[in-house]
Amino acid sequence: MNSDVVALIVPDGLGGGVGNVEALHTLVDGRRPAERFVLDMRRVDFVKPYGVVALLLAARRLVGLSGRRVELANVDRQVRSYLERMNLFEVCGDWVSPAEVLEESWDRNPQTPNLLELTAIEGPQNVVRAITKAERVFSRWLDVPDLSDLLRVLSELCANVHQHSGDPLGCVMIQKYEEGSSGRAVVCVAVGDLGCGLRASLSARHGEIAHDPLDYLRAAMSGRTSRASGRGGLGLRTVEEVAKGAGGRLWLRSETAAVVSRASGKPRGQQGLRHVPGTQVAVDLRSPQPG
Amino acid sequence: MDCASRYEMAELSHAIGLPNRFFLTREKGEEAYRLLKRRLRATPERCALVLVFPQGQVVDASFADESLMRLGEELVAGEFGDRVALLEGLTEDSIRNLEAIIRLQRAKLVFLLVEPGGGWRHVGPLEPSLLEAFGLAARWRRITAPDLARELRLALNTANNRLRRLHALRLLWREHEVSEKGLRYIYHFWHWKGGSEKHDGEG
Repeated sequence: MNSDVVALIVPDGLGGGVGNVEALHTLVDGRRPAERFVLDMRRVDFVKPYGVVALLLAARRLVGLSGRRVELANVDRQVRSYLERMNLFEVCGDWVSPAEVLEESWDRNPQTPNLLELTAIEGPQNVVRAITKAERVFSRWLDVPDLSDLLRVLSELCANVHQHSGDPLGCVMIQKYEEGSSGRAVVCVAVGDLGCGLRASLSARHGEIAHDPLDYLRAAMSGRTSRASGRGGLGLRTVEEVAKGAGGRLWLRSETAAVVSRASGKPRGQQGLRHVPGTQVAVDLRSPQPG
Repeated sequence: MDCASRYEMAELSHAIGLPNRFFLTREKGEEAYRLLKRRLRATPERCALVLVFPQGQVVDASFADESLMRLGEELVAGEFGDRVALLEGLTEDSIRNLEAIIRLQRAKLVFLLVEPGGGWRHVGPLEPSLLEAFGLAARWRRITAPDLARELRLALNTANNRLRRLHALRLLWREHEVSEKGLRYIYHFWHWKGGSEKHDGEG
């Protein structure tokens, strides 16, 4: 590799909790422009939806610095299979591509009935499409109340992207897992954009209502809306209620702050994170029954 | 007058370009609101518009806020006169969702959920004293303040006040008559039973 090519070793953690994904943001934030970036995936052996979305957003930011597509190098075979299955290289082909050409075709089942592939949210029609597909996929795994909750969460989060973020390239992804010991279904939803973020969205209507990005997150979660009509402010609160009711968790991140809300206890805020434009959300829903 | 118009919400979802059972997004809720508003205005006064939801419907909070909640607020504000929108066929999930919206918005709205056979329940904050009066009005179909005062051993003013508040919530409609004793309001429970377009004189 010549000196104009910057290789960044992606830290392990894309398959861990949302906090672990922060290391990827740290890797990207504050980078100087270069001719080309390579994301070296040698340390990554597992990826979850929020990790995929973070990877995609990282790639988009790097493309913004180089003007060229980011290459993913040294990708573990299973991880690559998963990323392909999730349509990463199709949906995000303008920003990211695998460095290595495969000599064999991997065992890949496009009908795997436990996930919603990476889906771009460009407008309301994509929201409806994502929801109808999610219903088809997850009705196999979830009872009606849990399925309805999932669809409502999905609808609200996707709608927020196209209505508030100003980013036409936001995306969503869902994966259902089984929790090891209990066998319960855990559905992980990840949504992310590189749009204006919650602070700018709320400030556009209310002016500067606080100093810290965290205050804006809290305002959004308590029902402040950026709509001129004053209606709204329900989406995140609905998502939080559903997540709590399902014994799950909501992680809401924008700029340098995040709020995590769990089934018990008050929402906990975090400040001083590395700057990421836009808004990123992860929601886990736990089914009471074995999946 | 006892009458009711029925409107299949699957028809509405089709009209606004959504798959049959899906009622999603704020934009579509706005479109739905405009259609429902027209429907409600076309409904005769003192008649109910029954919104019949399809089986297994999925209604998100934004859609419900922009359509049902907005319509509910305007009904209570008196913008539609003595008309009401009754909700039929909502799943328990949708009901839970609607309850959550009302709670989160701290809205002073009460929706009447109805069954084709005549069963009903309410969603929204209704204090026990009002619920008691409302239950009585539903049983008797027609009630006056003296009737309520007598039955519940209330002061006439109190009975009058309860019925007036139920009417303000559009849980009852009312007519008045002028007699030697002055103006008297007669309050009526809504009619929707049977699902046909119009029924006169059915109790």
